[in-house]
Amino acid sequence: MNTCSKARRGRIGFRFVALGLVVSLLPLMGASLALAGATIPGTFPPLKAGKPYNGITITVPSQKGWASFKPAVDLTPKFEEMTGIKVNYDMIPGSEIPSKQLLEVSQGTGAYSVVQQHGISFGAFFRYLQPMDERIKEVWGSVEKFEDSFFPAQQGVKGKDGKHYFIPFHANVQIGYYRRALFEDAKEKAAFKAKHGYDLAPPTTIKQVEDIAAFFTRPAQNMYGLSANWGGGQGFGAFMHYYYAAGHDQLGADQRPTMKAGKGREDAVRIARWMQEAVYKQKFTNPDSVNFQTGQVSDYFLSGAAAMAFGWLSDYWIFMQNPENTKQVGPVGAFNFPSFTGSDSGGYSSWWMMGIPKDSKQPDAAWEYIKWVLNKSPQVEMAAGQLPPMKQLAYETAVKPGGVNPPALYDAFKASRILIQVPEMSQQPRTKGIDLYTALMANKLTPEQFVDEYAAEIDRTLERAGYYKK
Amino acid sequence: MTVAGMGTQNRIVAGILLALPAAYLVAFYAYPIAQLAYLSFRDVEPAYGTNDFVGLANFREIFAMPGGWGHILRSFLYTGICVSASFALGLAFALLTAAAEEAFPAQVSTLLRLIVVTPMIFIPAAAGVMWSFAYTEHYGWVNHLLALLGLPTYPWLVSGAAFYLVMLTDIWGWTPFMYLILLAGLQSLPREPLEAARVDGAGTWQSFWQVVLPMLRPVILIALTIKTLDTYRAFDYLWIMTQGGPGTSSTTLTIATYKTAFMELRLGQASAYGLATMIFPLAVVNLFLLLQQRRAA
Repeated sequence: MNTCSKARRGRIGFRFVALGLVVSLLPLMGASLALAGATIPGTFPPLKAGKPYNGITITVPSQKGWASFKPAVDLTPKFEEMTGIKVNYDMIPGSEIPSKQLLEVSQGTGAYSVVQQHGISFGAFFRYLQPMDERIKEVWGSVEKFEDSFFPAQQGVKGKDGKHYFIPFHANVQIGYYRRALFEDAKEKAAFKAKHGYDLAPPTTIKQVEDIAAFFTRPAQNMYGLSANWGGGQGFGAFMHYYYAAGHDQLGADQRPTMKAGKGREDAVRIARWMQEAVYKQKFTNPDSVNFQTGQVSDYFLSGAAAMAFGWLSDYWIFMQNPENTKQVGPVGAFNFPSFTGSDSGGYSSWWMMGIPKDSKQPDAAWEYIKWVLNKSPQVEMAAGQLPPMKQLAYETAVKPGGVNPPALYDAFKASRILIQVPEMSQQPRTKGIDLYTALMANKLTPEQFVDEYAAEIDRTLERAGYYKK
Repeated sequence: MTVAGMGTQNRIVAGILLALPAAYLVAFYAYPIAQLAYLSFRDVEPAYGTNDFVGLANFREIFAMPGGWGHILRSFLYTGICVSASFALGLAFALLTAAAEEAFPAQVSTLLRLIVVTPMIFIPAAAGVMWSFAYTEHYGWVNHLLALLGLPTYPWLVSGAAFYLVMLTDIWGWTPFMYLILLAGLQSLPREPLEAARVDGAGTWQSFWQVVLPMLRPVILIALTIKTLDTYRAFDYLWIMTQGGPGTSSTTLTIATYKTAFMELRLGQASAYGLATMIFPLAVVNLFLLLQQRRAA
């Protein structure tokens, strides 16, 4: 019995030790399990707590000298501190943003952990990116909830399979600016009313734009009525903005260019002619506008040489709100540039997005970074030069009192749409479109030639890509 | 000593020494050109994942596409005008400097040299920006001068004049190069033939045409070859000042190649452009070598 008891005691003892080990490890296992689902308090989209990717380095390409993304770059050490992920930025000149990243991902070099693309060049990237829907569901609960929290423009950047490959982090739209002091001057108001029969105020129709611009065009004072970003690619973008705001997309339901015939062509020709004549016939737009990018418009406007301006001016809004910078022109106001047809369909939206390449070596750490960029900080800091693509944040920064952006920006943006509807529109038709547009604005093409040749270029490209096969 | 007369060790060393430049040539010339040729026969567009053999279609498109011939003709026009004008101005300034050296104190020719050479200190990209700014309607000094004279101002770089204004900038930027080479050539000429011609009663023009110019021919040949090759491949001024526009009115072969490769992302078509672009420089280099050989013979 003694022998038996000894063996039994041994077995019981072993069981106690094992049980003790299990019991003592339980809190640890529980903690680990809890940690796996834990998030850093105060973050949304939530970042994972416990630094699961500590020590990983990710490479993020971005645009060199991009003022409105700078706050995110400046705040990156906070992200690094929270997550332990090291971010290495590769700053690329703006004109090379699509080609540099596309060459890397198409060659599968794994050089970039994420890609950063604009809504005019994203189409080429789908085949090289990971779908985001599962990650989206983890954060927002469902894809529908995710879509609902962003502006409708996000619908335009989904893949052909209906999945999301890009998460937007920066939005913008072109609007108008005006010199409040001029518009509120009693003498100017009286003179304007006497001439046109209605009150001088930010324009709500194209006819009013023309009246006001002509009224303030005063060569003797070296002042034009309107300055605009009508140079090169930005000018082509301005034309497309007016065309979209007139209620058209580039492609119809049959994937044919809408400006090929009918109302689309009629409106496109009208807009092109208006832009051309604003410079050369009506002469209320300064001739340099046909070579201006937004930064030059801003400089020109702030020098007092224009009463109104048009462009991606929210990039400069905060700068314009500083009285030190507006000594020559006084306070600056903003307005939603009127539609040529009275449509309220919105213009074309600038939509910067991030995606994770299939060859990304650190996709999960990259996802943490993307989520962080969408957080209230840095989005609020970035809002000084953009509109957050999430509706609620955009509302807070542009419409609520004390917001850093003008309400006109929110108004103009809410219905705006993505310019590129099928991937093939990103490169060749756009490049040719810019060439044609610059010829138009140098009076080397008629508005009809410009519109017809651009429509033909779209047709050619999409036909070649197999869109019109029966 | 012949190879046969070399020791084994020397032959190994010689082999290694020859292998290095051979490897360099393969890595940096043969392989890239072969790759360019390979791509030029394919439809390579990373955006759409295409990489198909298309034969000569990319080359046919260069001539068939709207404006294709325009790019080629513009390249030659740009080269012809810029090279001729830079050469003429460079030679004129070189002769002027040489004459000033004889007629005036040394400070005069030094000042002249300094003035003519100044554009060379600008990086072409910076000079391009500077001249773009000069031609703007509102801020540019060109229009400011026109306004002072009571003439209308104009955004010159978005007009039909843009291509010629870029040429003007190229001529401004490259005349010093021609000037320096030709001046060095002039200064190295022996003085005796010139003095003999003068003793024989030759006038200034006769001396220049019959004596100076023939003696200067080798230098002129080198200067023109270098300048022709460089101007034909010109990119910086054209891209910075007009980006090939307005429309395609200042698009040359090099601009078309860049746009096709990096804006349209059509690598096969861009390679065909690249290969076609190489024909003219090859012809110029061969012509230069031929003339050199004839001269040596």
